[in-house]
Amino acid sequence: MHWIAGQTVGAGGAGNVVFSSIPQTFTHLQVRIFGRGTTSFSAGLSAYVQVNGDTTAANYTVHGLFGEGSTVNPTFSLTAGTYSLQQVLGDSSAVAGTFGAAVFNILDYANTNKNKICKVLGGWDRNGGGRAAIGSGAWLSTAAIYQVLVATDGNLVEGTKIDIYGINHNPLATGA
Amino acid sequence: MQPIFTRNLSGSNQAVFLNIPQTYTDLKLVVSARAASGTDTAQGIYMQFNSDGSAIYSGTTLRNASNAASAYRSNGSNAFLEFDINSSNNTANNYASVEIYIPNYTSNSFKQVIAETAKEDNSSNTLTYNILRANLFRSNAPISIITIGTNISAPNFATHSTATLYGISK
Repeated sequence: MHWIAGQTVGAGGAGNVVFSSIPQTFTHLQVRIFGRGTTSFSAGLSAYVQVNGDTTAANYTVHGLFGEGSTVNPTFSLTAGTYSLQQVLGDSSAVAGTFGAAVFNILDYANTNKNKICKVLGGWDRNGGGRAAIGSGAWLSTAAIYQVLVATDGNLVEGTKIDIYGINHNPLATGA
Repeated sequence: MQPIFTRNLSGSNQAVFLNIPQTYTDLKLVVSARAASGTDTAQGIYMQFNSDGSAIYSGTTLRNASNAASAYRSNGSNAFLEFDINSSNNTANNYASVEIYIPNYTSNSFKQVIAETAKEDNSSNTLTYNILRANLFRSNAPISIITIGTNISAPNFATHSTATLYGISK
């Protein structure tokens, strides 16, 4: 697994973080988010990942499953507008320094024969609240992913850290 | 995390990874797959270790299927099951993502295996799954062979289906 790029949000926050010109030389792509947003919503804020600047809602589908306290709930959206995992990042009402985390895995991100499916794991805890979640999303396009935008509800606060990694396959050994 | 083997799965209903090096700490299998057949709404992957088909596989599952949450167990199986993948009934060009973590695979104790599956479709119905599953292989033998295959009606994997086995070291 190879680190490609990373950004840490500075003073004043940021509306989003964008990674452009993503190398097409890896097999899989991973986006790792440690984040918190400026919106106040005690259940938590969503992690959004939008690719190639495509804002067309109908091009994304999202499904997920989250646990909060004693309940487990499914969720879905067929017109999400982004890959997303609901309410896994810290909100502004949480104690200062409380962030959330999410890891998005996008297999075969540069393969032009496949729609781009992401699998995501995330969650946060606020000492009396929070969520743990798994989810998935489809970007209904076979285009290679060359740009990733990360956002949440409101702005990303200072200290939010986002990194992207590339993962290779083995072109030589099959294990047969 | 080092890629050990990569297999193109298309045109076959099974892949066997032989002679897995015993030099890593953990293994991770990453599968991007789709079944060529639409015979069943959900096509799955089964997995066996060391070509052992005895009833020593069990699992505990947390699942979102058709926008309904459920949790259940299966015991005494002859393979790990329920890593659901897309079929030809699903949205074109969607391939399921399956990641299977196998910690401590060279140990002389039972093997715990954690798996995550994402099967996406442009639909809210039974064609979509999020699955988190804990699996137990009740064998003390180190894992040197991994078999994966389609488990319903044994259809072939679709073109562009792949599996890569990674080794993770301390």
